[in-house]
Amino acid sequence: MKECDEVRRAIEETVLENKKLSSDVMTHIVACSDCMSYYQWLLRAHKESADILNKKPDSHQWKAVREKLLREGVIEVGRRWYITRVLVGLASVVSICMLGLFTLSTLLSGLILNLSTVFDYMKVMLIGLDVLSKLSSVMSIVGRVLMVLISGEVSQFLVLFASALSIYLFAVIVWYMRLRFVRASTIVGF
Amino acid sequence: MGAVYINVEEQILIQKCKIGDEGAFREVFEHYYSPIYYFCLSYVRSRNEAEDLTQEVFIKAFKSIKSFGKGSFRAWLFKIARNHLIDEHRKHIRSITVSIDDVAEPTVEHTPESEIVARSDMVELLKVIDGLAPEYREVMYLRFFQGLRYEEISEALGIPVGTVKTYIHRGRKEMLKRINIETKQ
Repeated sequence: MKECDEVRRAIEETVLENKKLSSDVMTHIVACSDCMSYYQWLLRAHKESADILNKKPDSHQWKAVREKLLREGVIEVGRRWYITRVLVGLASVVSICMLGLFTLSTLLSGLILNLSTVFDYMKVMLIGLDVLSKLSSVMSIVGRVLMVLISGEVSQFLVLFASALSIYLFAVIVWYMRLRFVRASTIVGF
Repeated sequence: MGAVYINVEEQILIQKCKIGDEGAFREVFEHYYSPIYYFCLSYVRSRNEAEDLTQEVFIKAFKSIKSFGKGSFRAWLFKIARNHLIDEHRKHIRSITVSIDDVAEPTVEHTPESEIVARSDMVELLKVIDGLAPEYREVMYLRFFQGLRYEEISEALGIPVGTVKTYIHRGRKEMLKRINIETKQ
């Protein structure tokens, strides 16, 4: 028969470290009411402490720590992720620039400066306003790209890249359709 | 030193932390927040102070995570927490200035047991540990409330494993006496 002290140590190892109870310890526990009540009490207490210690903190706790870690440069963006970030950013900027150039070239190519009437002046003004609005939208997209490059949020990157790509594809389709229209109109004799 | 108790998942997580992976830092923080918070609370008895100290402990730990080698991460974290608490206590003693206002101001005392409402066995255990001699208290708290192994306690407190075993043996005797007294009353 094992001593109570030894058995209690084995009980602690079972309860606190998830070790198996040996048969002689089990025999002792069954025979000794003190060890049995100690085992049951420790089991309950440990379950309660495990519940308490597994509780997750509030998100504001992490935010406070994250802020300090970012400030002190402990949280870093990995090198591979950094390269991807730059590449995706560059691809977005290039796409947007091409779109801007395409818009401007389309608008300016159709502009014939024959300012003989008031209507021609108004036409030029409207075209100018249109160009300005398009330029401002391009600038806002460039601004977003820069913001994303600074913050480095993955989801923002993906959304931005997808939108830039779709705009670019749309522009290519429009360009292609325009060429077809020009060819068709030349053949017809417009 | 003692055996390696670190599991593979935790090891990967720590490696990710070492290269500055934010997600890994967050996971470690969420996993160990409560144990460290209650550890701090057992020292300072103020919920706000314990929260601040817990944050400071994690920042300290994350800043020096590259220095973590082998062994128990949990023990390493508790060691940082303990050292930080001791440093803060020393600073507090040095900067203490008692004024009439300070004395008159009522203070609400928080303890791990006052935080854990309606959990009788745990409260009983913590109360008993709190009433033990100071040399046993810390060891018993880490063993019975936090569930640390002897080797981990030895690492965290910087004392030999033999001493940990002796303290737990004596602490257990004392604890059992007190539990008996409390149940009789």
